[in-house]
Amino acid sequence: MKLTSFKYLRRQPLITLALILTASSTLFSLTAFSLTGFHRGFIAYLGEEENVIVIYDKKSSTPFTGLVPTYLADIVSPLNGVLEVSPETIAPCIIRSQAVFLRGIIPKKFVNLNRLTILEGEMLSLKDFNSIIVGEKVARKLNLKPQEKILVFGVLTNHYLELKVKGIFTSNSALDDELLTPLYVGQWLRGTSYSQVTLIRIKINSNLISPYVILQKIAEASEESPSSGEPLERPQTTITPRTIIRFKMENLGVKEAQEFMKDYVNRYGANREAILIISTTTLLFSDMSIFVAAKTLILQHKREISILRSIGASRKLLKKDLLIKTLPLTLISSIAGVTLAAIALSLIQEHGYLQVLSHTIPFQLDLTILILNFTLPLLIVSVCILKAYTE
Amino acid sequence: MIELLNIWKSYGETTVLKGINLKVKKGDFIAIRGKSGAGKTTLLKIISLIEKPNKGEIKIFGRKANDLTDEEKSNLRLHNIGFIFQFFNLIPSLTVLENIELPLALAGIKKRERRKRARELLEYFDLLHLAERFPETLSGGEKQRIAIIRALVNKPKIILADEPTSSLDNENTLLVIDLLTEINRDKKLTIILTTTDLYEKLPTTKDYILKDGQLHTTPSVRTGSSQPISRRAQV
Repeated sequence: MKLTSFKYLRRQPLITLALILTASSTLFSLTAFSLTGFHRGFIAYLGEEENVIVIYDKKSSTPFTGLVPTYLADIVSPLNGVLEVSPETIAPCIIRSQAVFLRGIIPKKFVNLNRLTILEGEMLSLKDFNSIIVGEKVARKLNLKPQEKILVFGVLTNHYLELKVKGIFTSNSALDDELLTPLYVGQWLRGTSYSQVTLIRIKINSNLISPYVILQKIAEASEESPSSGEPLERPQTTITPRTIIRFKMENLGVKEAQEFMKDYVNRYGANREAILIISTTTLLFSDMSIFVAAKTLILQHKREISILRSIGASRKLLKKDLLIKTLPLTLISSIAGVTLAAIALSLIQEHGYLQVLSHTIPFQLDLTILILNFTLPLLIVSVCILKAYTE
Repeated sequence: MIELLNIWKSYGETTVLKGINLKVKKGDFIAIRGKSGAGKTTLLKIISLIEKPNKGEIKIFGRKANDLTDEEKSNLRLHNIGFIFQFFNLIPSLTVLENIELPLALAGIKKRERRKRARELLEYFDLLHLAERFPETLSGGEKQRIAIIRALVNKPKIILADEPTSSLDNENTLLVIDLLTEINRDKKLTIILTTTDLYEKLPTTKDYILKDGQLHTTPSVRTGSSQPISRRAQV
């Protein structure tokens, strides 16, 4: 290119453009990565695998507050294709003045759905009456160590318990922000009877059984359900007494774990598309600054452009050269913006500030966001230059 | 060489040029005098095909300007027209040498060759010592002489000088006028020069006044010193 080696664009306006581009890109990346991270984390909360389904309470306004009969676990367990059934109770609690989620589980069953690695101490068993194991993130946040005794307040009940930290685990999932305790401890802190749990997760062999078959089986059970509670024989896997309680079929749902969580997200209009639209709106607002900055750059070099025109540079050549000089800068600034946003998010995460409902928002580079982040500024700067009046 | 036929140019409601007719022959030294805002720069921009007239026809080097594309006009400007401006119009972020190299680069001449040619011209005008300096460090006279060298570097057929002396002191004004006279006389280069001074004596072959959007002829007087360029450059 004839003009490439001539640096006729002044440094100051170029630096200004680069700073505006970087700031816009950082702002967009921060918003978009946080929101999509929240979305992704929320949806993967109960497991990312397609063969995990959930029996849940359709009436509940959050995934943590529903109630379903515990005995449905016993109805589903013997079905062909059901690999594991895990009744779970989620209880919002306060420990050391911090809000945390505690999950009551049957450890032996739970570990077949979520791989837990004990980092310190020991694994929980159902007979550990006054014990918990703690996710590594919450352990770090609350500075918890094995063998330590902590006071746990159930937010929904005003019940409190002194529990001993039996171990610290990692799962590389949202569970790292939770505490796990035997099912009946969770039920007590949640304030429900032993006959009810928040949800039942089921691992299935999808070649042998589908959510629909499970739903049918539950529907049959609903027809047989008594008008009042009556004692049920105690199953071998639990040490808590269960009773059959009446339930309405229309209040129960059976879905894949991810779909179940998506339902809640969609209910509040926070689906991935909405999140991308919100993020892109941020980008469009910041793109206005990019547009103004690019326009200003051209205006600030009107004299240089007019000199070059007068000595024989064609409009086409000038526009081409301006693109060659500004587009790499635009790309580098966008990369810098993403990098800054990634560093900022990692720092924020490390200090435990980026959380929703006491769960850390997972940060992960998203291809759509990256493409938007790089293409929109390139497009805007290109349009500005191509539409510029280069007389 | 250049012929303007009934050229009209308006900016919004204001009509700057009203039916301009002008014939420029090879070797002419034409002065166009006029007050500020009379339309002198517009006329030069129309002659150099940077601006389009609203009405009228331009014939330049035997070609009708209306038929030319922007690419062709730019090419024609690059190889045939040298521009000199009132405020020198050197690009501030480029060195003197790079400023002179610009038209050569646009003409597609390789870096080594264009550097050589630019240096030769600087040496010819005794200004080689300014080669690596930036325009802001030069005096007004130096800047205008560099601008003249840049206008000459592609060996144009015509020089358009838009008030080339109005930002200069008397000494430098004389120097620039002498330089242009010599270029016109020795290299047989056509020069069209504009000035706001209605009475300044200029070495012209044709003298016009641009008033109320129209060109009026006035008698011209050939003046100027006969000192050689190298000695004048040292002034």
